[in-house]
Amino acid sequence: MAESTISCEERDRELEALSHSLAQSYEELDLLHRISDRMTVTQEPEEFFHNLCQDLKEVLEVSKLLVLWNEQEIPENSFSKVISSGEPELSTTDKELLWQRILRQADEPSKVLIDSNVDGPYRHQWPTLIRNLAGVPIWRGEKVMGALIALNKMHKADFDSLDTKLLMSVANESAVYLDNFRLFKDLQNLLLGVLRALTSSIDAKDPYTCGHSERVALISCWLAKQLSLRDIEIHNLYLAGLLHDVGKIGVSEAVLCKPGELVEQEFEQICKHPRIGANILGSIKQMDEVTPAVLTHHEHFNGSGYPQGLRGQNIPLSGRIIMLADSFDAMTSDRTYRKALPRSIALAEIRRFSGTQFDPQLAEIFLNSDLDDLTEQLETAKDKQHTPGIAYAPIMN
Amino acid sequence: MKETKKVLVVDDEVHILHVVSLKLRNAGYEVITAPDGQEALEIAQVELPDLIITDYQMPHLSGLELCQRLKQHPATQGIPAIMLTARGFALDDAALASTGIQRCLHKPFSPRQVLQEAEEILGAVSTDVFGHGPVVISD
Repeated sequence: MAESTISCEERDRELEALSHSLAQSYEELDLLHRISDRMTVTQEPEEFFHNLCQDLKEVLEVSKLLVLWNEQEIPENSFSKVISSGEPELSTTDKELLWQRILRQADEPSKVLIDSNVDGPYRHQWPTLIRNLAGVPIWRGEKVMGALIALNKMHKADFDSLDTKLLMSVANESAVYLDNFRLFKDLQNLLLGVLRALTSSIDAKDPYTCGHSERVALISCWLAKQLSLRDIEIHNLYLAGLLHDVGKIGVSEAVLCKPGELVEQEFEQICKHPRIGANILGSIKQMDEVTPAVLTHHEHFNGSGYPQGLRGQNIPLSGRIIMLADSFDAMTSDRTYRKALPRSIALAEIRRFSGTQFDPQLAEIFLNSDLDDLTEQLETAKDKQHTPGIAYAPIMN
Repeated sequence: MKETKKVLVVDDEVHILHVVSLKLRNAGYEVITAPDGQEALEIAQVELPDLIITDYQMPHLSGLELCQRLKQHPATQGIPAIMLTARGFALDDAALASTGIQRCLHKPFSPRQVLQEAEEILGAVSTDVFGHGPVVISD
């Protein structure tokens, strides 16, 4: 009788241990699912790793979890970014130390850096804040471009192989995510670089319009921000601004650069450029949000514009924005046919033509905004002169 | 004296019953289990738990049917429930409205999250969030 009671208790204990172990496996599985669900390229690494650190720290039951990584190829193997969750606070020296040891461990057959004083003395010397640790590298091909490190295992004496396996899986997922993100950014930068080159070459046909497209793009984005448009809309407006005059490639230079007034035939030629631009872009599916702005950027709010004579809300918002940005920049720059107008006069003109040429709501917002800030941003952009690496919403802040 | 909340856990897979029960017991809840919907229905009407955590796919009576039946009885209609479903499977809003199901979690679930959701629901119960409270064993 006594024997069977004991074995019942033992059985219960076994069952409890099994359940506990199973629960832990479920936590790990759930974590891995969640991480892969979150791996969208449009999410910034900071946000991705912030969530990852918090979740992984809880599943591993450690006091601290950190991710170190670098974004570009840095010659002297170093990290540029850190995200962490938990205690203790580590100094830069401590983080450097961890990084260097991970790098050295990456050359060994076992890529996992693991250390504690449980089964024997520490292999390395560590700051007293670190009781034990397990860390793995994050690879890009053959190179180490990051590290995932867990410090101070709680509830248990040391890390086990399940912990290190989980760390490696999460590191692999992180590597895929970082790679995708980098490629995506590279592609964006490439696209913008090519577009800028294209529009600069068109601007260069008339010496007075040098930089005009870039400025219109910046002013349009700035206005979009005043309207609190979404990031993707702001980005599309930037592209639309850059490309708005691409149709001028179909207009002869003699007409474009004529110092005097245009005769009717010449004016007709100029009026074709929005449609020419829209035709050029029309066949590119990725430009679907941009093409309408290019087509309608010379439409007037009261219907007296070209090429279609659209009026009011029938003109897409992006077209109305570009129209305003384009006019403002044209007025405040030197042209073949007149010198630049002072800002106050340009603003007075906008007020005068509000409701006729310009959308009155947009005009009002523009006139009441902090234009000194806009001027400053335009100056900064001019100085920067198309620095590579600025991609998505490449201007403001 | 602090009232101990009672949770009924229903699943035809015994290891799930153990995993969830262990988590809840360690957090201080009283746990009753049932291996299928039919037994769960009978137990719920007697025990009147404060919360039901149930699997969806079960023999005899599905988790959804269980919750629908409970909602029809005045004694049990106020009992909130958490449903555990297979990944990729979602219950539509109309179906949920006919039950006391407050949350759906996908399997494999995080036991920590189940506990968290349970605590949230059981914490909210005392402030009578739904407009009709469960049957309270008054002190």
